[in-house]
Amino acid sequence: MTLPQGPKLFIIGDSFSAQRPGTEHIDTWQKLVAERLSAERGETVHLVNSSLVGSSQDWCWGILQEWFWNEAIGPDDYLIVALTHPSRFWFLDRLPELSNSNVIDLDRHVSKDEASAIELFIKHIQRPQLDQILILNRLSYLAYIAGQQNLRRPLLIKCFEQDVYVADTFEELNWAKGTLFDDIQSHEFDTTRNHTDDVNDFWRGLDGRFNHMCLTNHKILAERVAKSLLENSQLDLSDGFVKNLIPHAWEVDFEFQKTELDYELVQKNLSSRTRWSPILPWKKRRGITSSHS
Amino acid sequence: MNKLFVIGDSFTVEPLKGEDKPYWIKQAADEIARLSGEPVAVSNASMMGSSQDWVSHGLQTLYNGGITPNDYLIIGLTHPNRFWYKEKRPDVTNPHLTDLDEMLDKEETRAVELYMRHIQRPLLDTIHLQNRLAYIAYQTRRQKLRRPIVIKCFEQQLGQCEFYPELNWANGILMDNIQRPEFWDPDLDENAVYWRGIDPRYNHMCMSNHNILGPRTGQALYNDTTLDLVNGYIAGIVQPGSLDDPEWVKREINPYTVQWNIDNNRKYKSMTSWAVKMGIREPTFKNETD
Repeated sequence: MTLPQGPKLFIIGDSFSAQRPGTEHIDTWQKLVAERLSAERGETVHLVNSSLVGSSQDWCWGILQEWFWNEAIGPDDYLIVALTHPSRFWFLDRLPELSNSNVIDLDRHVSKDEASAIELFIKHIQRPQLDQILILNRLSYLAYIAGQQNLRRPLLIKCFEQDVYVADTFEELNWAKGTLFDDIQSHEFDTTRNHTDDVNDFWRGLDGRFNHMCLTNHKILAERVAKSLLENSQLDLSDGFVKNLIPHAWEVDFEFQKTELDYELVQKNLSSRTRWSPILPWKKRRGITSSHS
Repeated sequence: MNKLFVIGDSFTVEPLKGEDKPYWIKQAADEIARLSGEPVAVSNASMMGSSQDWVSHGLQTLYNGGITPNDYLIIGLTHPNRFWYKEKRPDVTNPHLTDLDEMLDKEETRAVELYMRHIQRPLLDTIHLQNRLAYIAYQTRRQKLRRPIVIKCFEQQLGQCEFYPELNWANGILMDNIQRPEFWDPDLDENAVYWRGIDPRYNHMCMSNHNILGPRTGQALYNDTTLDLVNGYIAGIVQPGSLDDPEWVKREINPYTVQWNIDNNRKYKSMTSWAVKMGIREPTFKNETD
């Protein structure tokens, strides 16, 4: 693992923090935070973002353990964990991005036997009780190492609402208030849109926003994240973000697409929109329900 | 009264009621009491066949106000590849159970089989292990508790948790350093050759070794020193004909289990593990066949 010299901003998480290759020049929140930290400190703070779209908490902790084992993160560095949903599971070693059975066409990427393994795991083995044990252990690991190695308090941002049990009292962790999904991304849509509607259907493909947020909210988020990291204070996601940002006619509003969205991705979506048909998630298609639900 | 809490698998589980031999945990508590001059009560929550996640679940309850800085704790660390598949069967975790498929229904058994074949892997097990042990170290530091003794029941890759200073790691492994060397030839299938059924030893160790391990554990807990599992234990104590010596049986192992094996004709039943039969795992012993 080769890392740049000097202070660093480490980020690990899912699609709320991942960077699409080739878009490094875009003013996403991760880039803006690193720039803001650099400006405040008068030296470059290097961005080390290992987030992966669709990843699970276990995959993220595998990366964290590698960082800590190699002493990659020092007391002068910053760490942000974008905490994905705990029900995601890193089923197959080679496919860490296929962890969410609710939204993916999983069976197109795995063998028949592997799909059966995942289906039966969800039906008979996975349950909230196990998820709870695992999440408490994960967060303890992070709190323990942060304290042991005298690191700055890692900033934990919930991407989705989830119960973290007593871990919200761990003083070594800096918990953001609110969630990215419920407090920012969902409110960017027109109020007439139901929050449970399929996002991919709306965009005629992948979510056209960077990290599921318009760039206006990236700027607000970045300012607040940087402040939280610099002052070791709580990040507030619950208030102050712009709502109803996405115009009804977004498909023909090129100015909006250029200034707020992943323009390249949106164009790709729109060019094939006549061929677009919603993908019914594998789990729904198979009618998979947990014996614990 | 100070307490000695214990949680783990069959290496730490307490004998069944009515079996009055002083197993090693009891001897450890007695040793602490002798050294401290105060009585120590044993609270043993171990379960035969349990997994690390089940132990973690028990510890998450214990650390929620159940243990004080005056108390002691022994954690028997079972193999990380055991998995708590069914909430109501925390004892059904081990791929080397002979009759796993009789303990679960057909589809559940298929779920376990496919999990082992396609999902379970050492990397995932190790990620979970690091987190579990960090939880224990963190709670020890946070609640200013005595360092728990953590004993590896089986060989496993510890990675960075081996260096957590809040954990008092025993030197050695119960399986490799005590239980296997007790056999005249450790490479033979113990169930078939020596026991003619299931292992009748308390915690897979003869009482002669309980008598060494117990006081050592008590001293290590009281003095916060390293427990040695490697040196000074008795090897070769179990011979192919040991069961034919009633005095030896009475002195070293559980006579009730010996009788149970006879009553249930266990020596005629295949002891090949379910996972080996299914072709999921390699045989453990050189004469383990279907």
